[in-house]
Amino acid sequence: MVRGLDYALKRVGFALITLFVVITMNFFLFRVLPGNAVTNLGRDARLSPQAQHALRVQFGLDKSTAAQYVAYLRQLAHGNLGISYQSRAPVLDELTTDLKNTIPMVGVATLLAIVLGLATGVIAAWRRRTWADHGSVATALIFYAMPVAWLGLMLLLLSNGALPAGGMYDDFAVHTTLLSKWADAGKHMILPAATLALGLYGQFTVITRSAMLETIGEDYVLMARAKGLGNARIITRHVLPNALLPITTLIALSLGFVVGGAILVETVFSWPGIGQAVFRALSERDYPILQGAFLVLAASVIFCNLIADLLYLKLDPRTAA
Amino acid sequence: MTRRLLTGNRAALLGAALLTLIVVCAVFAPLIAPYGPRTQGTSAASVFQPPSSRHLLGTDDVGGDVFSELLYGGRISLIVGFTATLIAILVGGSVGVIAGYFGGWIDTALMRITDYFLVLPDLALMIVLAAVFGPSLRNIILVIGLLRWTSTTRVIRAQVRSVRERTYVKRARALGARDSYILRRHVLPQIATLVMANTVLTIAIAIFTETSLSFLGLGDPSAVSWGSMLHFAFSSGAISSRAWWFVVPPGVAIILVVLACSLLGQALEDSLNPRLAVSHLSPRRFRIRPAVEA
Amino acid sequence: MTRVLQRCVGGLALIGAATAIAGCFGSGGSSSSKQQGGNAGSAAVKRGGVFRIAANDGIDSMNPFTAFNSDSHNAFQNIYSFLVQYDTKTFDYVGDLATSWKAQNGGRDWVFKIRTGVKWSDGRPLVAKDVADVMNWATSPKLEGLGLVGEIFGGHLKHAAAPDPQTVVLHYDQPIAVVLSKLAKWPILAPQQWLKFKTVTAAGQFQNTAPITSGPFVVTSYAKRQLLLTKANPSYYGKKPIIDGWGLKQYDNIDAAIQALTSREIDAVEAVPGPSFPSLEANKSLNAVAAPSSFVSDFIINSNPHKTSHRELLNPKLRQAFADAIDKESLVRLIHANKGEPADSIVPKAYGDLPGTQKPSHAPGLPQDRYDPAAANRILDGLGYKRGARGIRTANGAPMNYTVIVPTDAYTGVTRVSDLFKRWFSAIGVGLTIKTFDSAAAYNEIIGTQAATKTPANSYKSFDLSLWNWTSRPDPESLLLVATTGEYGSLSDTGYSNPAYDRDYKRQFTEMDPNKRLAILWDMQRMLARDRPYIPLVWADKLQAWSTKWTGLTETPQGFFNESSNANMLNVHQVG
Repeated sequence: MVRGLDYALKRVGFALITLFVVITMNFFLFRVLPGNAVTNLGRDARLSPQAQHALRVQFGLDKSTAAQYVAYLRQLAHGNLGISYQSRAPVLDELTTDLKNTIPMVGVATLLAIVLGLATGVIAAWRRRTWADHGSVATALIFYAMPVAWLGLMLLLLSNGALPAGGMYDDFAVHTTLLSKWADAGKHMILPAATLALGLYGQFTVITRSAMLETIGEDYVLMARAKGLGNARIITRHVLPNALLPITTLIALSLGFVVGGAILVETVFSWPGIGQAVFRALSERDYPILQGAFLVLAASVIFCNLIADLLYLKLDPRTAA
Repeated sequence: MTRRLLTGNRAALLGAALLTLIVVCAVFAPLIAPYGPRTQGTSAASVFQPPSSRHLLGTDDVGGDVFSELLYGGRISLIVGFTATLIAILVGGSVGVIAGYFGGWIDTALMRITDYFLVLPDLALMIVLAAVFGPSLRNIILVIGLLRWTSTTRVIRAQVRSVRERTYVKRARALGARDSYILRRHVLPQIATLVMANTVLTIAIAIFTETSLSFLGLGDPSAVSWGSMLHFAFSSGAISSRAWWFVVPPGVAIILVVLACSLLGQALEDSLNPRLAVSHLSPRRFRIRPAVEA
Repeated sequence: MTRVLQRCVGGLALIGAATAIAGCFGSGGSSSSKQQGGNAGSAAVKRGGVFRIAANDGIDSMNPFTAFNSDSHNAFQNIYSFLVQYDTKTFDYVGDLATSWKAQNGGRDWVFKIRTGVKWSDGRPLVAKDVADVMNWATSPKLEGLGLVGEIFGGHLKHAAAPDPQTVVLHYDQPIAVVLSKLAKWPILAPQQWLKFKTVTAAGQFQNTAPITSGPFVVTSYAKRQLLLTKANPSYYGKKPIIDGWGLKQYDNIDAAIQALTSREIDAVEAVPGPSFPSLEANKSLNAVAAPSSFVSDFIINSNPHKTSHRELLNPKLRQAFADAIDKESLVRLIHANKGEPADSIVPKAYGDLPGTQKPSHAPGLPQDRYDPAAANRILDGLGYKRGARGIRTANGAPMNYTVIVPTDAYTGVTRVSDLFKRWFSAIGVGLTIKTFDSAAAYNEIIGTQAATKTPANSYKSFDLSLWNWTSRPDPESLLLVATTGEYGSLSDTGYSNPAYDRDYKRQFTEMDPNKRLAILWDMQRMLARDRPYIPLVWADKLQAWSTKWTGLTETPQGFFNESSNANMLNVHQVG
């Protein structure tokens, strides 16, 4: 098992290096953007040149790029992601709030997608070449092919007022019980989560189906059938566990992208999460927020990739070789 | 080889047929479309008109003909899709071949770079870049092309590596054959079909991405695309006005294109080396289409 | 976003007085307008409830020194007190916290008498010293650069004094004619909350999510970019609100807001885009209202005399031709759902008369543009700009191909407007290339330099044309300011630099006689109409909608939820 540890350490090391490269490149990337926040802020307040300078100093924009970079790294080491240009509040606080809003919605969506994908994939594989198969795969592909923003708009159109069109809660409702509060939150989450889930599940269906088909043909399954085991037992005990390998890693990888990719859904449904924060920060030229958000998103993807790698190692010891 | 398998595969045929139809419509848009690409109505009443004999798909938020916009919009979406894919394939393919063939530190270095691009949140980065370089068609194409090459790289690299290890290649090298010869004679033909498959799939992704960027308002303002139609529908409140004819058609068009590409691409991939049919299950090689970002 | 421009232009805060206050205490205002909504003695008034509003651009900050968005200032209007406000019918000044005022010493000293018995929301009594202390604190050198302060006081306030608990005296270093319009935007902040900040950074970073206020409503909860909830201030000195409170909820797209309105999750929508307005008008359970507003869309022609390329754009005859090539009527029809009218000035008509003059602040008799492409072509032919390849004319040896800078977040439909412009201009042989940006980037494109100080020699040289818009406050001073040379790099989006105009601006700033001042303001507008740095396009109505279950709202040029007056929130109530 020393081999496995070796591999694991290598993967962790790689993840850290990638993280560092991400940090560096993100810093430089945003310095390229035209216009900086001071020109944006300064215009409104009609600042004197001295006052503009003061703002620059405050945000460290007067120093050389190299000095700013070093300062940025040092701040990061202390867990300080800087101050938002627009709200003057700490970036970390803002992003934490945003993430807290995004993750539940995205989490629910991913769960839905996984369940839906697994179910349809299993059905498709087990009933290969029947209408169930073709239907499942076709539906999966069609949803997979839909632009997520469009799907959101369509669901909005179809719901016709039955479900809330935006926001996380009905902020005006007075809730007497925790249950009613959760019900309200749940109702608001339905459309965005459904949109995300429907756009995501198609891949899981296809993967599940292929993975299952691969394992169904294996000898031990034949053995199981010869032994007279029931279908459900065969699927859950023998087929799924082996199909789980690619599925698990796929899910772990998807999570990374899904967190980073909820921008469109959050825009359509006014969900106050990190995706929306990115887009808003861009138009406001709020560098610290953008840098922070990118870092958070990239870090989450790196993290999920790492988990995927380590999971892969656990599930398939051959990898270490 | 490929052709035989294709004709035997109904899905692939459907995909190819769909794609051809859409391309034909786009190419011949000026002949088919009853109006120009960006028309406007004349009165307030001409806004958000439902489908009629004069406007097959009704009118949009300034009274322009939706059907014509759909046809012309296809041109932009497809042009962007194809061109961006070309760039992605060229870049990704080259990197994959080089990394896979030469191995060693070149391989490691290139793969590190690839992995870095893989972990970036795609759409967020593209938003930033589209803003930096400005929203023009050329920049959108470049941005998409330069960020999408990673999936091609991985797949190509894997295949090149396996080809490199084959006996006849080893023999050729032992005999003193130059790298360029081996690449030309042995490696490239082996990856041709794979490249084709990947190309088709990347086209779908590229069109998706263009839609997203245009939807967010970062597309080329002078070019009507399916994404920009959705953008205008969104910002003018088409849904509340129940102007479904403005919202549904662009989406359907995109679905058809992406579906066509996916069917075709999958079939091409499956038609290859049967090992490869399941190798895409390996998460390392399976490039998750950022479905939720598009 | 228009917010940046909007905010700056709104240097004059409008604080609409509750009409009852005006009636009981006001001086300086003319006849108090009658209570709105016709609820004086008519249908039974249903008390209580929370009036829920779907925000337009939303609240970006609760800190008055850093807030840009109009919604932030709309909110401040209804939770803070202000010395003076505007009567939303006549736009005369009426007192809010102040009961009377007079200008002394030629307009250098302003004496305000404030009410007695006012309390802060934390229970402490509000006295004149509070008002003066905060003003002195904000204008002190150590806080130089703090937002809003420059706009209100412009460095002219020497000292604010409180000789007795009911009197505030402001000593300026020169006569200032526009003191009231500036102070109408200055929220009365609690010294106990603000005086402890010793630096600009600290004052700017304060989130102010639980403000201590003295206005009609107090904040009960604030979630950034989501919701602001308020309740009626029990110790408010004025007319008691009929509702329990109001809430402002953020929706990022108009469909979501309209959907919420029709499904009764929301009671009112602040801004409706033109194309979706007809469907709301058709909805019987909604009041869809179009009110003349201060919104003016404009077409900008680079007016920097030192412009480097395409200097033919500086030719007044060419500008006349451009004006003839534009079909403003079709903009009204297509972009604004027929709710609006072609504009002849950036100063709107909607605000009526300048206080103290009985004459409109919008200059009468300005030249009217007509859509006449034939005339445009004749002018350009006459200038010798022959058509060349692809029908594009040549001027000064170069084809007349210009780039139009379009900020896509300026107003809904601005990109569509640029489409129309391309068509119109190609009909007169001019080629337009549209370049889109967001507001910040667009501004940078227009200014064209990163130099610390912007002058006609080093900035505004390369851009050609742009499409943008303005919204403004009743007193045109802060809107006309944007065309002064002093606003280079700040508010100027045209590069217009005219010494005669700059002189006029300075004169009207200190001219204490309103009629004389109005003459100068008209003169400035005539200069702009002649020189055409802007070709004003459309005065668009403000389109709003609210549920028929609510009544008591009056239309104002800034909408029912505005920075001019808290009257609407005091009068709104459910239908009995």
